Amino acid sequence: MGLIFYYFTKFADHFILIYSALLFGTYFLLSTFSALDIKKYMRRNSFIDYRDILTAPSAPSISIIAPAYNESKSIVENVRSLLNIHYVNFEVIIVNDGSKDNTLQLMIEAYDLEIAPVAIEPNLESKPIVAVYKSRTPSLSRLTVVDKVNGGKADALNAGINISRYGIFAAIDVDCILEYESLLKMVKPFMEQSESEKVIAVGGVVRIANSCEVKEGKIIRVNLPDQIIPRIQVLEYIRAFLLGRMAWSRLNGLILISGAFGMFDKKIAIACGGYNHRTVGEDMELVIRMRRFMEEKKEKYRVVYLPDPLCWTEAPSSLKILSKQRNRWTRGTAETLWIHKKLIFNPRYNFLGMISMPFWFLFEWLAPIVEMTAFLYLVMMAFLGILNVELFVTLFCLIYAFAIMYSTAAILFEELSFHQYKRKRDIFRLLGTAFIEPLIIHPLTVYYAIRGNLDLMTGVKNWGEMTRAGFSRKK
Amino acid sequence: MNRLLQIDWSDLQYRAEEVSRDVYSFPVHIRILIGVTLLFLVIILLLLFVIMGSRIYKTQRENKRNFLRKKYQSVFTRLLFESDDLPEGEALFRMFEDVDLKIPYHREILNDEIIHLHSNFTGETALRLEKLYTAVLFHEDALKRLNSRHWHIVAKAMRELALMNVREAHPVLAKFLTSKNEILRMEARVAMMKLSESEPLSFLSRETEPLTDWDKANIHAMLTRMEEPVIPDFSNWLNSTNKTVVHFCITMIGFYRQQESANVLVKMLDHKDEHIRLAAIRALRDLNARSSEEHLITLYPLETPDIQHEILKTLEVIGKDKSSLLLEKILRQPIKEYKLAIQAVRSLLVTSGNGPQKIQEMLKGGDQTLQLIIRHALDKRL
Repeated sequence: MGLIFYYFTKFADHFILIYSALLFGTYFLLSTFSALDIKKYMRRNSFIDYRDILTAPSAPSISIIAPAYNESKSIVENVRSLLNIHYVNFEVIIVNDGSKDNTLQLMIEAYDLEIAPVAIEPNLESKPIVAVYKSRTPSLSRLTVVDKVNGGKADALNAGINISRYGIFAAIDVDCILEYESLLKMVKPFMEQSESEKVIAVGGVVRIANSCEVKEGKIIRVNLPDQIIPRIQVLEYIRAFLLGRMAWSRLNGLILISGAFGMFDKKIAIACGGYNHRTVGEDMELVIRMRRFMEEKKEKYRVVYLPDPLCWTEAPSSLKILSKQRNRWTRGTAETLWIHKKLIFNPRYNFLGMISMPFWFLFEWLAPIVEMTAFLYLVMMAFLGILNVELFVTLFCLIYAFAIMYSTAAILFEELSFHQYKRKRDIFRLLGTAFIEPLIIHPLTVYYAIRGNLDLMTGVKNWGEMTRAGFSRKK
Repeated sequence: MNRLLQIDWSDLQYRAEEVSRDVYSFPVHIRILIGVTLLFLVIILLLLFVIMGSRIYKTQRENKRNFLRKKYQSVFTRLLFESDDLPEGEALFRMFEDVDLKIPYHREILNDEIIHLHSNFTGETALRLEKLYTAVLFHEDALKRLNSRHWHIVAKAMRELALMNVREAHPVLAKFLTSKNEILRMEARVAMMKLSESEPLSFLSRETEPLTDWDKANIHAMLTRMEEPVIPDFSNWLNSTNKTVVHFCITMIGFYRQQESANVLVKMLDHKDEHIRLAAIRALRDLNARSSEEHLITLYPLETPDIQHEILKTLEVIGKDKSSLLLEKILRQPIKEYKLAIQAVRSLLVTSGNGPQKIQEMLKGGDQTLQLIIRHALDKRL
């Protein structure tokens, strides 16, 4: 028995070491690829004039689809912001997903809406549509409001796709604030695609707008959030988008485009069956399904990510809301990996099967579980009085130093590329956040991820309501 | 002992040796972990230095930029808004202080400012900015930048020279038309278009690489930006072996309403490439080419839904009685694609004198789906 325990502890020590080394190595590689791609992107786009797209007969038309659920606090302003996007040919479809508040009534009044007789082709499955509204005002002809029975975000997006007129659709969270040129930047990869390699989806960097000054649906001054929880998320987002997704984009292995803002080829999205109602990770699931579809058709394709800050969103500012969000993210990841488990380590799916999916399984979904297990193991060893203190302390210091180094690298990328936080004190605050994040919020996010997995096993399916303060209330 | 700082160096040295002995007493894997942690700490420090350095550098540059902008605000205002009494030749040169034209970063800021203003003005004001640009020899800087090892600097210089109409750059740019770098090739094409005295699109005859929609947008944008555009007969390239060139030229025939090319476009309706057929149908609509009606009707049943939709849209513009037979047939059959049926209703309304009457009959007698489609089609907002 003693021998078994001895070998178990040896195995556990080695597993923790090897897993950490693999994780560090992967992150290091990803940041290198990311740096290369950001540099290339910035050089490529440093001298171009996006306004050229506005006059081009070849510019694609875009359907912007924004689901809305209980958004009465800011819906009128948010819709106005979407209608003011700088682009030439687009429509805005707001899908009121059975809101319990007066979201629909506010839109009807603000935009002079009336019921329109729309024939909707049921390409994708969705809950019944109650009515479709168009404005009586000619200048608001771009706006369509769909009122439907509540069915969740994926369902609302499918209804929006069914009613959309154009070949490319942008799925966006209605409370997001888009940058002035965001659509122009997002359509460029679609315009750059060749016959031999199709661009099936484009994502953009999402940034956190808490404490930013917002006026008439536009960010007029970027500030670092005053509260610590959103500030830590700023760091997380910079890391995830600038160091992570850019690298996957360069490797053409990206499987997640944020649900907050992404642009997709409609034909392929429909051919794949649209958004999946059975998961709360519908954004990731759709990208994987589109990629899987292309792989099975043996057609060359790309999923592109842009490092530009194109979309600003409000991050959770309380632990309660953060826990719901992270819980949902974990369930979404787990459900999606389960749905597409056939792809993991499947050489038929090339890079997607051999690299992207295994990475998400091993280092995104499994990481919090490994962390928690390692923590419990250490507690048990300490309790038994056989904790290898030297190993514990050095490993803790190593992981802590790596976490700070990785965050500092992310801050450097941000500083050298898009330089959004211009005040000196913002940089110091971000650096300070990098030092405290691994100690305060990270353990909590690990806990929320574990809860997410447990909830999934016990059959929790809800999306988790996100209460937002709304931008209009900020100074 | 350092009396001033009250530090006992020998004690510190002893302690360091003690720590070192302790570290060496650890097993090898612990020593590796300590080493890697120290390496991470060094990297963190380096990153911090770079962040701080970058921040200081950027702030200084921004301050300098603002200072120079303020300093020459009156000069630019005069240049932009006062057309009389403007200096010419050498005097233009003296609008800036020598020191600002000598220091490279100051030159760069002034150069950027002129380019920025130029991109927002046209006509006389743009011409004045071009004169100033060449008077202070910024064009020579741009020509030198064409020899840079970095492709993005070369591309930016090409764009600048084209924007500022530096015609002497035209022969220098030719070498980039065959560059391995696709962006340099594109920038060279567009710049040469702007700077050429005649035949701005001659490169289309030599183009072997596929043009993307982005390339086409750039070429088109430059065409619309040229002051006296020498718009060629785009039908000259319809026999090109490069499908993307053919596609672009068909689109341009429609855009510039080159009516004389309508008959050639009709022949393109039988092209084996779907994208070219689609572009030809759109161009025929733009040209209001009634002669293509019969051909389009014949083509309809053989085409993909996307092309069928374009045909129906074109028939709405050019169609007459012959079209109405097809449109009516589409609406009488079971509806498979709503998009096609909606367009068929819209086209039927205008192609035939009794179209509206037929639509009303269908609205009364048709099934629920057809009624909904007709109501949808009749609502011009949808």
